[in-house]
Amino acid sequence: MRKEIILVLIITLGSFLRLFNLSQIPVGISDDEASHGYNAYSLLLTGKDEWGKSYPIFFRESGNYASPLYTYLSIIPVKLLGLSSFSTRLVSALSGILLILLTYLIVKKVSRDSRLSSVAALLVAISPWSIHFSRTAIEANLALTLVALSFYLLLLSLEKKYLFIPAAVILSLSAHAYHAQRILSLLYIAIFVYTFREQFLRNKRYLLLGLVLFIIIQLPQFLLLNEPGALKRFRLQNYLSYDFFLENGQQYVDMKFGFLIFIVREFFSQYIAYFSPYNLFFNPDPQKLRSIPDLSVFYSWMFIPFIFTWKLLPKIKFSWQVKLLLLFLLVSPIPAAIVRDPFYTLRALPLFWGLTIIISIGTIKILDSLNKKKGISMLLIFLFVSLGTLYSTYFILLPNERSEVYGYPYQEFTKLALNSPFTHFVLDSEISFPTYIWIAFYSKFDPRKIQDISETRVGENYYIGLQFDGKYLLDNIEIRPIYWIDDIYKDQMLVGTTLAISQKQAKEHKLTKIFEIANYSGETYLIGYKTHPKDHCIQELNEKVPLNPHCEKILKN
Amino acid sequence: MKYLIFFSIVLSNYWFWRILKHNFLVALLLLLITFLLFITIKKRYYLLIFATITIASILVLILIRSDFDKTLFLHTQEEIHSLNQRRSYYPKNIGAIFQNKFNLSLYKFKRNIFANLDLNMYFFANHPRERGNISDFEKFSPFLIPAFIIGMLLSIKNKNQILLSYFLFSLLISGIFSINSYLGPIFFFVLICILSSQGIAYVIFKLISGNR
Repeated sequence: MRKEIILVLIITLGSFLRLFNLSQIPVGISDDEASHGYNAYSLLLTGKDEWGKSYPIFFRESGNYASPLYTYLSIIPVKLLGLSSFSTRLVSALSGILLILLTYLIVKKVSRDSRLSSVAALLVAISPWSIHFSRTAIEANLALTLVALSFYLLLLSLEKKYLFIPAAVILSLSAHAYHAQRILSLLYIAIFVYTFREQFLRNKRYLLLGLVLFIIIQLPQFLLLNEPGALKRFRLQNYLSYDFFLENGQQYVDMKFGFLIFIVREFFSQYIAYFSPYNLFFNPDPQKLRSIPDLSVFYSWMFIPFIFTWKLLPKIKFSWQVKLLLLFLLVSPIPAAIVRDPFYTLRALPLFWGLTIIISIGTIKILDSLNKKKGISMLLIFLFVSLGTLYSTYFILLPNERSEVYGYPYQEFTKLALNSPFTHFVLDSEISFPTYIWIAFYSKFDPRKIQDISETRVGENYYIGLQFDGKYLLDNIEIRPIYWIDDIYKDQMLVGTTLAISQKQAKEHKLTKIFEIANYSGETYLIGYKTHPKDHCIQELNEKVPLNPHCEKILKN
Repeated sequence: MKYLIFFSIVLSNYWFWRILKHNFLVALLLLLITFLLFITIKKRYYLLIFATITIASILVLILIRSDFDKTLFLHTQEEIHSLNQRRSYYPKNIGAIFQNKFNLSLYKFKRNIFANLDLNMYFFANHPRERGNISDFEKFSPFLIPAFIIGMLLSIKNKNQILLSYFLFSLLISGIFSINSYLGPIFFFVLICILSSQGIAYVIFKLISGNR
């Protein structure tokens, strides 16, 4: 009974950390999140995505071809709660909560140690990587939970063979949840079947049926492999092409077998970076959307139990449990290591999950070396330090320092523009891209109208056309770059970031500042300027310079 | 044989020659520490351990004059501004608990320690996460990594207390040295050389015994 109470407390803590103020922190919503939410909304209302495609295999979005499962599942919360940051993030948050329970069950099943499983569940519940990615509408987080669920069923299938079928189905579905899983799901099932080949071969029926279903579910993605969209991210970010080698190979270009050496070197430099204590415990992911200020995927203190795990190495017996964990850890960073983004945390979530289990083993080892009272005190101190760090970095610094990347100012702008339906706004898309999805999301723009604009652009080339200019006209908001030569002769409001429209430009073009929109910490981010076309034309008339073609009409009025 | 492997690793890397070119005395002391520690692994001569500690202490004293991280305690105007800015984000006066000079110093100390635990810095000139304003260089050949990992696993398996003590010493002492140091975290030079040579020796031994 005590164990169950502890588990309930851990899940409650994990749920609180994932659901508390979910719509406000991260403040705003990232463009990818907005795309998932808006496409779910569009599917709900019209049965088609923003490009007018019925139930696609990859969502084209702003040209990034996202995996579809997250968006499809988001239809339910969007239907129940309406389109909002909360409903868009809910699938991820619930996935994160379920992962805590699954961690407990898997570790318990493998180790038969309820203390270890409780600590593992607790560390998943409070780990920065899990909290951050559970609080954002991230496909990878859903994919990880599906992997964990599938692993649990695979472990159960060792006793109840028929469970191999749902396990294989769920693992295969994870490939529809996140791109990296397309490789990992194949590797994971191969590892599992190989590790337990003797048990499975005794009952080939379930094994075969499970594998057939696994393949059938992945078929739609395989059939699209030739389309540029299906492998767009990989094509853009891998380092395996010869052209990339010629550009970046430096000393290897003139070397015999230089191309091979370059690729091997690149792979291992990327791969090892995912195990680097510097990256894991101190230096966050370089991309602002994927990281928390001053906090990496684990708390710094977790390095101590991480190191302690190594003390177990001399006594280690290569049981199936150890082999499975090691193989899982070694395989998980592979998809992340074959592309050139450094320490791309999103692609390595299964690794962080595995490492959390490793850290929990080290934590238990430390607790064992202390008496019960000291052990509990130490655990409470670390918990207190972790929650304090999380409060400071995630709940205070993140909204204040990252609100721009989450499009928070565009939320404020949308409110303003909706309240001025007779003003024509030109929202600059040159600096911040793609802004259209924030406007569509925050204004709950009618998907049918956006489909009308989009359908004509892609037609039959949904998976082929990779060009995306981000130009849209959403009622009174026109999203495109500002064309100074033309725009100042139209009566409208020019809106852009402080970088897009400088004070000098505003003065030169006789613009009047009408509003400023600040980011969350109060710094001005967007500025709205009113144009004065008549003044320009009168000036041109007085100076006797050739009149702009727009001036004739303006002066006539 | 093992001495041949050891010296070929110590002398065949770019890092050692860079140190030698920059400061002959430091290179000599480093070579001595590496060699003494290499001997002490197998045979625990207390005199050698004492000599290693003495030379390492001298090396710390030499380096502390040039490479001590003054930024640990001297914060720039920009850092103070950022600290005050961040403090204003917190409700009431809670900000002072999280954003203060002590925490800033602690942050830099941790940065110095963790930066030195990054294998990419030693084997890939910090690629793929190159650091701005720091001229990283490939200290050892990446092809040495498997040997280094084998050596590390062996020393963990053998519960080598001397290497573990030296590792902890290097780790803590590196916290007070600047990550901008021209020579790099030289105390880790000793560990990488010893562990890599142990790894290579182990592989060769296995290959020879396998062939017999």
